[in-house]
Amino acid sequence: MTRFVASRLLGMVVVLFLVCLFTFLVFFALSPDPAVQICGKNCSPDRIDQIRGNLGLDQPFLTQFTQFLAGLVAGREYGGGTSVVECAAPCLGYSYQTAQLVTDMIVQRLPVTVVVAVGAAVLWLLAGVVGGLLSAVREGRFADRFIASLTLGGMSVPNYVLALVLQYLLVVKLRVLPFPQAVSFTADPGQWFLNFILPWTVLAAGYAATYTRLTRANVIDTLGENFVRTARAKGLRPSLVWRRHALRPALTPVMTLAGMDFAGLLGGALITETVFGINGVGKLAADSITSNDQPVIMAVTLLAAFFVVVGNVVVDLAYSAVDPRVRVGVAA
Amino acid sequence: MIADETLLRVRDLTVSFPVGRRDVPVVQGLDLELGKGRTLGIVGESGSGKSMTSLAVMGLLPPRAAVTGSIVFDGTELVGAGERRLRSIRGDRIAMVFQDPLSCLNPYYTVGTQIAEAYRSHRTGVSRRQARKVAVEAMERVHIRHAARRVDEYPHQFSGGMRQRVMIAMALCTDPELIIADEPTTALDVTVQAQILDLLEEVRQESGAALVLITHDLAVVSRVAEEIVVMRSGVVVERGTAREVFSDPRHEYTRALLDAVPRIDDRIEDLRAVPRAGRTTSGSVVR
Amino acid sequence: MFAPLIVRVSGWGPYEFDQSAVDPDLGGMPAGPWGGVSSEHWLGVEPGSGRDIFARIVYGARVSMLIALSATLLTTVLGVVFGLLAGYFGGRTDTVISRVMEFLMAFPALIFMIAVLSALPAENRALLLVVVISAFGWPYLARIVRGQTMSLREREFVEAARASGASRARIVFTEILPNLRSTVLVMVTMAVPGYVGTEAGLSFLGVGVVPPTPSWGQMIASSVQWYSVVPTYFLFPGACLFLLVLSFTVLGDRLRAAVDPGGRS
Repeated sequence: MTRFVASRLLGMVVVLFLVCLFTFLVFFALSPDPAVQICGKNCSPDRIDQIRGNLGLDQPFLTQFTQFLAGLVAGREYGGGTSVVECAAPCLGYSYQTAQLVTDMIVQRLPVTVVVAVGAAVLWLLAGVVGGLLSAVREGRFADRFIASLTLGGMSVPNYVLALVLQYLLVVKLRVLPFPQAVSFTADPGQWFLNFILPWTVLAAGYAATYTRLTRANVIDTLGENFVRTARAKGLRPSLVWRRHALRPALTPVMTLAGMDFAGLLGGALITETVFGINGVGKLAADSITSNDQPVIMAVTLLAAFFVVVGNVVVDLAYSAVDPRVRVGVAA
Repeated sequence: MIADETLLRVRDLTVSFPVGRRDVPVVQGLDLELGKGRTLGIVGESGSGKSMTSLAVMGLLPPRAAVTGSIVFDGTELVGAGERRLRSIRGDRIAMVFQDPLSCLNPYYTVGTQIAEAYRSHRTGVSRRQARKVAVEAMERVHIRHAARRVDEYPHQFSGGMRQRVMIAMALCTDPELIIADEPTTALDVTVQAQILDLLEEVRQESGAALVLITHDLAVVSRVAEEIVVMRSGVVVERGTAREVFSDPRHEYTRALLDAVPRIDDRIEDLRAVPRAGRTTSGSVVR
Repeated sequence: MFAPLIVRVSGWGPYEFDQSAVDPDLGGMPAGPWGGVSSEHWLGVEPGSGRDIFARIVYGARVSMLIALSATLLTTVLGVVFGLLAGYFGGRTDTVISRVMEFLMAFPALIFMIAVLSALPAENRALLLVVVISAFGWPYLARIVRGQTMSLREREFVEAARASGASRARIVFTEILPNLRSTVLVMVTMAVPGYVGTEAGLSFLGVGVVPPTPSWGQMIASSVQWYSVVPTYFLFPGACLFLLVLSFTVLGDRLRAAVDPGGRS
């Protein structure tokens, strides 16, 4: 078990390192010189050189990359002379455009994104599992067909289209929901909650559809398993047969997938946050794309990769704790 | 309670499934009788209706199956009985051992949990500890070594033969009066098959339970069963004591089945295939 | 393909401005109800510019489909080739290809696509989109092809072909590839709607097809600021996008059911 964890963690570090390297390489090779951008139009060559020097852009690729890695692990300093910027341990870079540390920018915005992501995950799991169970129990009947067509729709509608349609219908036309207002949770929980209903729904829709189908298929498959027949042959109460012998095997893979999807949610949050104007990490990325703020884009990419990779490992470990076959199979 | 020693009496049992608009019978007009502590072998090829018969006795047929006739277990009519009543008998007084023990065991729970599950659900107020003790005892009865340790292991940690022992332990732990074993040896290695059959026989003698052994393999029933029923296409084609059926098979189909069983003194070219159902087989032997 | 013809019939090109259809006094609001829907502009006009929405949708469809289909084609070729290589040859080939696939799948594809596209120069965006989408898309197909190839390799008919002295290339092309047909077909059908959505999403975020070339995602993006006053501006392209993706999804779903009745993967 310890060896398993260790090897997974090592793999994780290797992948993250490769992601760093790859991302860094792409930006180093592709992006236009940031120093020219920062300097603006009326700029002397001296000034450009100075900026390059401050940001370490005059160094060769390998040096820049090692500096970046060192910054990640131990922190680093930007600039020289009188204007030194201290960048503490997980240093993700320095945004030329906003003159801020990227780490600070992300940390500031992360809580909102987490709220959006967690709410959406709760919503889609609930909808997916309930819908899937209902479909499985009523297999082939009206409810099943109805849910099946809903899921096809949910899988096909791009989330920004759904966002606009819902916002237009519910907020502008029917006025069921109020216009989003900037409130903190402690100031006005009700308003705060209403603000997030649409983003949660929009982000969850596609996932809910997929999870409904997965749950349905898994439950139907599991009910056909021989061990369910064995359980019934023991004379167990139907509720017990369901709970113990059908649901646990059927829902374990669903939860596994949920873990991985949750880890990869930053991509979806990008669009949702942009459409609803929520000031989270996703919107930060979208804004940085518009203003071509390379260090921020790179940092968010790395952060997203970090979540995905860590999420995979966590799910793997959790799965081995839940499914005895994997647990022992690996230890042996 | 009927005065005689009959435990299970099946009369004119018919099971049919809807196929399109018609009802296709898979078991037709079946009669069976089984005394307490006796052994009955039901023999037939796959699709002959033998497994459907056992599922009908357990009340485990899918809801769309139509069942008519009568199944009386120890004075209680089971056909048309309520689910609650069936449930109180199923797994407690009638237990079942299925084919393919790996897929019949839930991979997520320890064998101990699964063995004692029936016991816990049919007795009230059984503590975790007691249940565990029952499971260990049942495992010891089926000769699983280190039962006290292995009770906490998972099905995939057992070999095929051991898993079938677990299944038998599972059937035993409520001390049932009737054990139905449906192809209990089919998924196992030949060497293990004999051990499991001996175990079933031993368990039966020791516990006094009646045993219904369902198989396609005449060699299996010849080892254990006292009485034999041969089924084909949902109908009983031959019945009698084991000796009668083996020494003097009256029906051609039984004879064909017997011929298909290899014996040590057989030469290879004498092995015969069983003629297909539906074809007239007047003396024609497929070589 | 038929876009120019269709647009000829409707009477307006995708780049033509019709200042008479918008009302400058109202900040460029389309004249008339329903976003300026009239016999002249079938689906109304863009606010501000007065460009014909119908024409832009038709042309946008051409761009979107071209990108989605090319990306699907490229993905399929890459996925099948690498999947076959990994699955058939196994060993070191398999290890290398599998590692690369794992790596690509661990990547946050959408964000990385956005990042790369934002860093790249704007010319020839369509080609870039195809390359970037395919680069991150092929492992999903290759993984399945690899698995199937591995099991096919052990089957009797392949053994037989090998025993009869068929060359490796011959075995791969005549024995294994035909058996992968249905799987690939289903995967491809499912990939098209995904890529249509990806393309539209990237264009929506401003890193896809650049104006003035019309694209559905981009149209929806520019409609965001008008959505409360001119709902038709996002409704029409949005509905088209939804229906296109839906029809491909349903098609893929049916195909899968037809090819593999028991499987529910």
